[in-house]
Amino acid sequence: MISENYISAEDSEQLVQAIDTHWMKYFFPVAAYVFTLFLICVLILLYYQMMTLDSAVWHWILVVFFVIYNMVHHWFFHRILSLVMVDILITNKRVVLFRTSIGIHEIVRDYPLGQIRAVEGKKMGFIHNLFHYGSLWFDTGGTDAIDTGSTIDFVTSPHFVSQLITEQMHHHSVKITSSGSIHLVAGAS
Amino acid sequence: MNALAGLIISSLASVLMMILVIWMYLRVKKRRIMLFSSLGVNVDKFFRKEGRLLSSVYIFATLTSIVIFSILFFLL
Repeated sequence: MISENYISAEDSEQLVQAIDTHWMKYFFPVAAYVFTLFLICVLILLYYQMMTLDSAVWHWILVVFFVIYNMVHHWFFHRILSLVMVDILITNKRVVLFRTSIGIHEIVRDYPLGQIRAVEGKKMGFIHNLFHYGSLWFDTGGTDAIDTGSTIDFVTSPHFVSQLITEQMHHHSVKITSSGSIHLVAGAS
Repeated sequence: MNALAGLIISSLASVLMMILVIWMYLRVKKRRIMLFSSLGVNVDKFFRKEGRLLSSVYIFATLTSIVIFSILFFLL
């Protein structure tokens, strides 16, 4: 969801747009969690129906299910809280992508506008078009569209965002032209 | 070691894991808020209450699962 459109009073770097990613990013972890929960409930019920087991054995089975459930439960919330932290910032000088897996890695990818050759917004398939989300790929020279490092998924309205970035690239190249550094313009346009 | 001890140890481990994940999340969020503020993003609007809501759901779900498994353990 595009949640912010605020321009900073700072003269050096102005924020153009701060973008959160689409809610569909939560779909697969939620589906996996619900499926595991359902499976554990069914297995507990089945074991209980076949209650020819000794009480002590039954208690140990319950503890094993509890441990398995806890593993999935903590994985799920870790994943969800990490996905909340995926953001995109567009300023008049650069595009910044934030990706985090809490406690494991934190990636802040900084694309200066002068180094971006092209931005590609992609909506592939029925689901992407139905929910209006897709992916953004930044061509900085030396990367291709399957390079996950330069691609960000689950972007709401990727074509609008790529258009916004292209406009900023254009403004940036005009500024550079007026300041005299013509050789950078070719790389930016 | 009997099954009850196993249940108690797993419950404690679960609560500790939850505290660890939330603590790490809050650390990352604090850093992100500082960075976003320096760029002029209205942080209150941007982060909204998503994170707080998810943390509350996480705490609630963890404690509920411990209670449910304990009830099952003693009832069945």
